[in-house]
Amino acid sequence: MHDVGLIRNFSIIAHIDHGKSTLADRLIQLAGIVDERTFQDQILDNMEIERERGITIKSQAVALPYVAADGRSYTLNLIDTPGHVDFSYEVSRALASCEGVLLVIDAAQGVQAQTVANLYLALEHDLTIIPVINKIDLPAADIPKVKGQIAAELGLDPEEALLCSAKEGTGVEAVMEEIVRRIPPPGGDENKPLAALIFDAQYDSYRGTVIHVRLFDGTVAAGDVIRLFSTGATYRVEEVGHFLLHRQKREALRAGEVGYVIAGIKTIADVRTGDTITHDERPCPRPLAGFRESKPVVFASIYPIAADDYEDLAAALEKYKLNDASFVYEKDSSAALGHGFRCGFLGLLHLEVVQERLEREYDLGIILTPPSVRYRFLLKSGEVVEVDNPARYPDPAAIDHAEEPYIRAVMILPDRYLGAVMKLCRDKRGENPHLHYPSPGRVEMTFEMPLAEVIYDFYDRFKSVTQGYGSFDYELIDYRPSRLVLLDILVNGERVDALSQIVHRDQARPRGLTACERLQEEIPRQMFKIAIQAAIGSEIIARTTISPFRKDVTAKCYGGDITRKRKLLEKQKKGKKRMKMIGSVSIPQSAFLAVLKSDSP
Amino acid sequence: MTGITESPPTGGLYIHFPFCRAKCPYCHFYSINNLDYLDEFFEGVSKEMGRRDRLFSALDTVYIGGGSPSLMTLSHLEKILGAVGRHWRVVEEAEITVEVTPEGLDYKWLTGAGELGVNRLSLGIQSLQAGILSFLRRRHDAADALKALEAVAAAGIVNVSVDLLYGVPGQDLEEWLRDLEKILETSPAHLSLYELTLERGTELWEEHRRGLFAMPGEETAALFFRETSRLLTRAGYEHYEVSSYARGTSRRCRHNLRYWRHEPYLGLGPSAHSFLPPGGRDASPAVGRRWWNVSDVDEYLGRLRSGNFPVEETEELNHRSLAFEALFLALRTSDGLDLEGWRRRYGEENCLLNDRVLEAACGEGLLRREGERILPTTMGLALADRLAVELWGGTA
Ligand SMILES: Nc1nc2c(ncn2[C@@H]2O[C@H](COP(=O)(O)OP(=O)(O)O)[C@@H](O)[C@H]2O)c(=O)[nH]1
Ligand code: SF4
Ligand SMILES: [Mg+2]
Repeated sequence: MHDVGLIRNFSIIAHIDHGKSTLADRLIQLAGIVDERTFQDQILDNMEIERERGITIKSQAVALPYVAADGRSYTLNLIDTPGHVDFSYEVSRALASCEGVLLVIDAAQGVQAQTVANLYLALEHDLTIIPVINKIDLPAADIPKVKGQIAAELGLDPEEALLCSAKEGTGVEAVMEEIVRRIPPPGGDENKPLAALIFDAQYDSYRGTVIHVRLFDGTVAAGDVIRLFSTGATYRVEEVGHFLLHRQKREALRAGEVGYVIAGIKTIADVRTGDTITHDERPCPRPLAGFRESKPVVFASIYPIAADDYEDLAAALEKYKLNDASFVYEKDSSAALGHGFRCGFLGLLHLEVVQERLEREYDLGIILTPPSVRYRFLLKSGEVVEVDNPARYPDPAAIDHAEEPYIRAVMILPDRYLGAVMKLCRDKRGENPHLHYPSPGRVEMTFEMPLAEVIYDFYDRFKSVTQGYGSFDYELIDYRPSRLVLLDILVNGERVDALSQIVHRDQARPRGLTACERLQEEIPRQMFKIAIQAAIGSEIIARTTISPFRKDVTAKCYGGDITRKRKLLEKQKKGKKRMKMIGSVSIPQSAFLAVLKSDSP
Repeated sequence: MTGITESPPTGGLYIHFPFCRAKCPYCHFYSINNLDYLDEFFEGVSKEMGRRDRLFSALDTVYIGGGSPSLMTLSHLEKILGAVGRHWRVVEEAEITVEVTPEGLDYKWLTGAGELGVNRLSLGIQSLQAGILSFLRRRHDAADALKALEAVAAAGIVNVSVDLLYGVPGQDLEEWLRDLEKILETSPAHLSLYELTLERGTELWEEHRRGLFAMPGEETAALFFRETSRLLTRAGYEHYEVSSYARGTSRRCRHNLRYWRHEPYLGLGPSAHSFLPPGGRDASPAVGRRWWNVSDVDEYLGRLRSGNFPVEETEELNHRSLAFEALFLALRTSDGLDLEGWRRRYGEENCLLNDRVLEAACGEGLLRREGERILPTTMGLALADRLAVELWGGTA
């Protein structure tokens, strides 16, 4: 009964907020696989944090049954992709499992930076592209203008664009129909040896690792012995199936299909997304082409607040890694914070997402140290060392010169914000600006800037000076010579290694002062006066103090009602748990990241 | 771990007399002003005694608080102390305290009370300033207060404690210190000097929330605390607990010391609290037990009538919780905490102390160390709650 001709694998890509999740919801609704009562908006964004932030982080897959105009019953596999610049790696591996995409464009906002970036990704994978102009219900919708942009900026045929309102449901049926009509069915041969691409994986505490796969060739069924290409490890398949919002068991998965495989894999480390699954007995000759490897650009250490939680943290990171192939980590340790991990992230948002997921999903209290980029030091000995951890800063006397990574930032914004953004970029040591006017009233600006400046409070300020109308994307270009110093923070005279930062020489003083001020705000008053200092080597360059409490005791503890008092103090004790004791000073978790926040103008 | 002791321990008894003429706007103790319940109340308390008398073999402190126990007539007092004597042996040198207010306190009542065995009075004067007394809506004045003190002296009751409030909005430090000196002229054996605290649910709390007045800031409160301590210490008083001063160790309130030392006490009457340390009778050896009665006279009486205990809630305290309590309670007192005794009593593994904080607190003059004992300084007493929270916990 298996007919590859009745399968379509597709993704939706869009600039953030253009309606990707809303359109996905409509398609799911139309497919009738979820009843109205249990329907929640944005079904695919099912991680708590995605709902809260309204962004899509993890790719997810769902199989939509659809009876097309030709009277045949199709299965449309929708593979959701994330919509933020930090997560293009996940976009990439989702796209590797598809034959086509819906490129959603907001009818009022038109083509944005990530519309273009996502289009390029889709073209890299040779996919069929269906432009969808969404939000046509908006009074500000300007369909002719958007069609003009589709032709001029995307180089696509505007006549092929579909019009819809995901919110009101208009035109959504036609989208389904066009998916069937335009996107080719998957190729592949089910008689060939099994070749399945792992595009995601999740850990289920009952079933072990659940692998999300796209089959290119062959079939896989319960009882088969499979082999993971990269490690050679073999497993017996326990269950295969589809995603119909939830897992739906099937007898087998065949070439062209998307689904899951459970094979009792307990060792998380054995599964790598991007890897190929094949049969142990009749393996395919070579692995499927992996996809664009992600490269971490931002580094920070994660420590458990309670030293006892170290093992739990290690286990949580291992599990997390399974679900987020772009996350990398290794062991680290700090005099102030004990044992922890040095981690690499795709960007700041990625870092925040990891932090929140570890705390929520694994219920861990963690401390994240100030993020850093990876610097390069050319030593007098001729040796070159790469340093992404201030703790490993080389002996200043041995350094010949230093280099830092530069990016090319691409920003698209209404031209009225041009002056403000120019100034911001210059403040951020930006150079070599290029301007380009893709359409009247809009300007596309490129700047070359140190990556370190972008992780230091750039997004927030960019958003604020463009009042949210600007889009921003970047790519790493090269390393350039720079004058760097190690900025230390001392709390009551004790150096807190986890608060050190590598900064540009010219910015050391203002950064030091800002760090002291932020810590003064973040660290609650305590029993003793707390002195906070910023230093370069032995030179103190900034300081603040936190005055102590003078009185903190209830007058009465009478009538034998000790319980009330104990409960009150226990609450305070709990509050203390969210803090890290450094020497005799309790430092809240938030302080470690706050040192990087400037008071934006 | 100690086993169940052979005979019940000697304990302390608290009786909550839940009646007042009117509710004071700052008070969160349970009290009502319907005196119709008086007779039933005495019956109820006697019943409760009957159900609890096995807990102690003898009493060495009895404290009748409230509420306003001076609303009791001498025959009430005789009834209740008589009942206490029937249920327990009251040791010869027992401390027997009654809380009284200055209004209508007469010589006859005082001598009568003394004859019934009352040997300590806690006199709720609160202030000598008309403005403050009216803010607190007290129905007596400075003259009443001084007269009451004279009457007490005349009645031959020497163990007297005077209750005063400070940190009242608008209060002047100099004036407060002068009032204290005036009180000191009568050489009370003991003073309880409380900083006014707004308690949720009281009238003052509500008025403050509506912004009708501002409370003194932390710096002011700290200044009052320090100056008060300095004056009293100079006058020869021992600042032995956050709010308590005694003219010599023998004048400390032995009943209150029980609370701070985790010694057993039984509370009778609505809203009263009781505590049995681990190892006592009626408590499984591994845990301490604390319970408190319902805060409602009707329900209190109803439960007793139907043969039930009038208990609102009971909690069992493991050694870890007890160790923390012992820490914050001990830090309220000038005796501080004997670390060795603490660890012996609650187990080394339960007594979590952060050595770095301890060291810093000593260095900053909040604590002193005498061998195995840590003692709060005056500055430390002012920060006792925070000290306890910060000191608790292993060395990170
Ligand atoms: N008026 C209108 N609003 C829409 C439409 N589609 C999505 N939205 C709104 O646009 C916002 C962003 O949508 P979302 O689906 O989360 O965008 P995503 O970031 O691309 O996933 C939400 O507030 C949606 O309610 C539409 O067709 N019309
Ligand atoms: S302060 Fe004393 S007199 Fe006033 S209501 Fe409270 S218990 Fe009664
Ligand atoms: Mg979304």
